[in-house]
Amino acid sequence: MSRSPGTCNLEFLRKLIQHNCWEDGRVWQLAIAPLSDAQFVQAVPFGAGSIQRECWQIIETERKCLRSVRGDAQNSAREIPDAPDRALMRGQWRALHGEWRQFAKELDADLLVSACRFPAEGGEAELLAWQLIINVIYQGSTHRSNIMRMVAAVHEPAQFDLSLMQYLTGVFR
Amino acid sequence: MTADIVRAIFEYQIAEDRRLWAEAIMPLSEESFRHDTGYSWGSLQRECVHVVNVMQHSLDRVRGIKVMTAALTIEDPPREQVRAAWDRVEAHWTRYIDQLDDEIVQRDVDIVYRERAMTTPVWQTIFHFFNHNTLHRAEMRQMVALLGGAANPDRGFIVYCLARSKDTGQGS
Repeated sequence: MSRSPGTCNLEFLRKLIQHNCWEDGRVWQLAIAPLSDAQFVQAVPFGAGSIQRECWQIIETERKCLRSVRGDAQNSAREIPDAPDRALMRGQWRALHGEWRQFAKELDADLLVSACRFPAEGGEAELLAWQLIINVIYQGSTHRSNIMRMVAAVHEPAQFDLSLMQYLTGVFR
Repeated sequence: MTADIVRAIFEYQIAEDRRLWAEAIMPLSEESFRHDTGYSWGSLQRECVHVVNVMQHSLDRVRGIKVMTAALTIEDPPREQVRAAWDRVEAHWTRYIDQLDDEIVQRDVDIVYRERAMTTPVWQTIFHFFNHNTLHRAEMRQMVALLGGAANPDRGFIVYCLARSKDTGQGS
């Protein structure tokens, strides 16, 4: 099979974005949804400190990076909500995944290497679009791993594995 | 460009693995390294052995090797031996990534995954290795924190990219 390098970049970055959205949704549905509100915000001594905070960090990174690659002007950080309104959080997250999936469809080779402004310490930094996308992919994997451990600590271990290869191959344990 | 992106992500991957080893795992006692925390692979020792074996298996897959080898075959290895095996596999991966080009990244390779034969592009196995290490670095940090050690925080890819562009004096 012959594919141009640009096409290959688009293919693997699209799949990584799709996996990120799919795995976020799976973790929410199978690991977080069965929890009580108290378990959702319960303090744990590692990572961001609670499942709610881990979710918030994923959402905020996904939101800020998407705004940056799209060149949106309003891109400041938001404070974590005081109340554990999971329905609201889930709704916002689902909408964000819709935006990411649409963005993945519209992605082209030029956009991948375009310079994007991103809020950073001491002002703004400039990064390439593919770097922001990879940042979303990596931080999602890290926080989802933390969420799985936290769910085991406050409730019981979730009965599935996190794995990119499972998603890509369709072979699940 | 494809191979260059993969190389850039690999460098981050290796830098984060090394940070975890140097700042979080090595300061622990050997006893803590072997302590069963009751989650995932239990101890840091078993977790590290699992990760380094998957790194080796992934390398075998992208090289088209059907009979996969284990990076560590001894029972109950001390931390020093686990670290040495990790360094060895990392060096093999570095050589592989150095010679990577766009054609190889896209090439299809026959692999066996969970006892099923399939054909997948090389990039899928490379990203499986990246993703797998990332998931397990998070688990290892959880273990270090629960063992009372200093679980250094994960450094995001953009933080790494910005620090690197400062070091090299180049923009992104």
